[in-house]
Amino acid sequence: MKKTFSVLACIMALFLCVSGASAANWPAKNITVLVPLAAGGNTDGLARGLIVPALEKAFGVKALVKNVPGGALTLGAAEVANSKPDGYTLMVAPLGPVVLQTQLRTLPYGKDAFAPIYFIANSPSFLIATKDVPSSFDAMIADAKANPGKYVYGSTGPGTVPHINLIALCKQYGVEMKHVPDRSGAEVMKSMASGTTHFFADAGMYIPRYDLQGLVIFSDERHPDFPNIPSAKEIGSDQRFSVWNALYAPAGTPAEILDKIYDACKDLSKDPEAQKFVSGMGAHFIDMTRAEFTDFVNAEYDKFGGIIKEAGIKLE
Amino acid sequence: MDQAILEAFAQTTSWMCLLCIFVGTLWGIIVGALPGLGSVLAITICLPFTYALDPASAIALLLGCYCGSVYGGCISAILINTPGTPQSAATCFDGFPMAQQGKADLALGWATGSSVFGGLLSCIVLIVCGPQLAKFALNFGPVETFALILMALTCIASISKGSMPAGLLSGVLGLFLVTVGMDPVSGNMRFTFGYFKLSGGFELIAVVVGVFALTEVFARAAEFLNNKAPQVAYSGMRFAPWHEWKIRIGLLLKSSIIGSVVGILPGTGAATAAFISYAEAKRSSPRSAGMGQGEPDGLVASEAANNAVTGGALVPSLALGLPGDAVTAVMLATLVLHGITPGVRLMIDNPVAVYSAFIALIIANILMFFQGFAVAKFFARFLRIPEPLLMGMVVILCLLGTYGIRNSAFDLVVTLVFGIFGYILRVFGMPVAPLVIGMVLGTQLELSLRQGLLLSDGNFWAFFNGHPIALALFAMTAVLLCLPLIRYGLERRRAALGQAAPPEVEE
Repeated sequence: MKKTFSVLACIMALFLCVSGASAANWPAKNITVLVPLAAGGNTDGLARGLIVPALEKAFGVKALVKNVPGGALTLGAAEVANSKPDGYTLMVAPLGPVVLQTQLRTLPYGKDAFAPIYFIANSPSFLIATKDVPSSFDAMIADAKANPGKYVYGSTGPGTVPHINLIALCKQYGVEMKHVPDRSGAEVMKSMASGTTHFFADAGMYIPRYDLQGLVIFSDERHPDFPNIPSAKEIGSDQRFSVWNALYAPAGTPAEILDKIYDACKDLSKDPEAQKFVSGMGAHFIDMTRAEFTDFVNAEYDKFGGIIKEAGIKLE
Repeated sequence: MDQAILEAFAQTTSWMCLLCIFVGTLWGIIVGALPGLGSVLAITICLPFTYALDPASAIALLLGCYCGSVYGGCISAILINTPGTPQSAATCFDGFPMAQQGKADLALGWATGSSVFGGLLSCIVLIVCGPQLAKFALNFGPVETFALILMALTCIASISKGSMPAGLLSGVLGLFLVTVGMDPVSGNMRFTFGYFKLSGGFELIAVVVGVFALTEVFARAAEFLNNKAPQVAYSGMRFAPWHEWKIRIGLLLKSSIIGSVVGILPGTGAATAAFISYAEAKRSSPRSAGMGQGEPDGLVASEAANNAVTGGALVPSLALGLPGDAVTAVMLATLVLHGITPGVRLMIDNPVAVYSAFIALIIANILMFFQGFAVAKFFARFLRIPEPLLMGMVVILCLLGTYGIRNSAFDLVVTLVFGIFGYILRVFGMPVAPLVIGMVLGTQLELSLRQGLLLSDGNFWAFFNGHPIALALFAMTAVLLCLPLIRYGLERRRAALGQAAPPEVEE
């Protein structure tokens, strides 16, 4: 028994040595940054414009973006979740595939398949409406209550954050609206411009760009760029939603490597160029340590879990 | 405003910008011509460079690339019966038969001339009435989009001469294949049988490459073994004499206008335009009997229309900030990175950016004309290598390209399976083109139908009520479908009248 234990201890020590050595040598080759979306969107921009240069500058190796779109972002996320946790495969993704899809359907990975590294940027969601909708939130709710099924809301697909956001809102206020999904934010904008849909919940940048109005921002405070749009707290709603992008590694990646990557990225929020880049997307940096970010992911997971359970949403 | 045009002109004619257009267009043609590598891939590879360029040059690079890749697809469609991009699928129908008849150089001439004409005409449309047309595009809700896609589907009927049931079956199969994966409305998985990799559905390009390119390679291999392979040989590009062009000017104009209009409607795209245009040419051309066997009309209809989409697609992108396809979406994202905000105010806030895009597109179309010659010469040399080697290279390129779309090994399996499947269909005389048409149009057809049904609470008859544009499109679809029947009936009657007192046949 004692002998077995010492052998095991030896093996473990050896294993620690080996993993320690590989973490010390990291990175010895190019790093792949997987983006579970097609090239050209905001998430892809953050990966190519911020994370890749930061990694290349800090480690002197190439960092390559790999776009793996499809399956509501779960195809790419699954690939990262199932890749070797050696620090050479990372993922830049919005919240959906990590905290939302993992609770909506059966996937070959779960929330815990990822090691959160760095919270990149956050854009609080707004309730965006076309201009023919009453411009005060209360008047809109009263109108929607009086006319069930009159209003239509759009989304970037079933089970996406904008969809869940509006399900939760309708549920809280007891209003009935139709859901007509599109496939991308741009398509939703087209549907709103052509009068098919009236509401959408996403980042505020859509409001001035497409001549729309914002009824409420789903956060505690007003947004400096939109000082006239009331916060959810002011109107007495407990809805809090934002779209955030972050950097992950597969779970099991050595902590030293995660720390190295975190250190390479953490000063991005102080770089004025990077700030400009991010604010151009209607987002802003939030500084979080790795531990804080991990807690944040868990909190978001529980928040969406609660909404999904309460609304009884289940996908197959 | 004049000031803005001058400034845009100065920006676009800077050497950096011109170089970007040149490189972008050439790169686009080459990538477009290689089967399996599509417009989106061509643009994605250019993307990192745009970070370092000024906005005008970045947009010029992407536009050149877009334009070139839509054109480039015709080269492989004509020479090896494999559309380089799905947009060129309709170019195969007449392009390859022409090449088999030893007229590959002429076919390339027709395709190039039509592409450039379509592209330039769409630029003019864009400049003259861009904003007004963009407003028109907003009349297209789900019902109208459904009606338009339905009209494009009639192309299946136009190309399935010989065996209509086989063509229809193949088309329906294509429509069915796009339902695999996530349901766009409920989010549930369909036909995935619990296999996770299928949840993303079948990648269109993987299937196109399989059923066109690999099937062609297999068929050639079989012919090669039997020593009867017709070798496509040509030395470059050649234009048909002027009088041949002259009789087709009407068709050129019509196809370019179809392309421009379809391009303006978000969510449709170049393939839809080419199919509609082909079906329309088949309906109206006096030479329609020869279409499908190497008639230049087919090439003109397809290529003028798909290249006219490039200018059309820019209209909603620039005037309203609504990208018409994946390529223009990437372009708008690039503008954002350069601090230019796309949207309804782009024309007012950044007229220079808009005008330089117009000018860059015109220059790209003109350059494309000359680059087409060079690339055609290059590909001629390429085709002179021994057939087994050439086919081997085609297979490798196809697989590389397919893998590159979403970096998925699963897509390689899809390509191979569809290659074998396509070959089996071909052996049994079932056309594969309708399958691709079904797949290209199916996704949007389903989404717009279901969106329309959601809005009308599941009442399909509401589609015919209060949607004048949709109603007109439905009527045109009916005409497109019934016309061959009416013609057939008329011909029979004429034939019957021609015969002296035909004997009555009791039925």
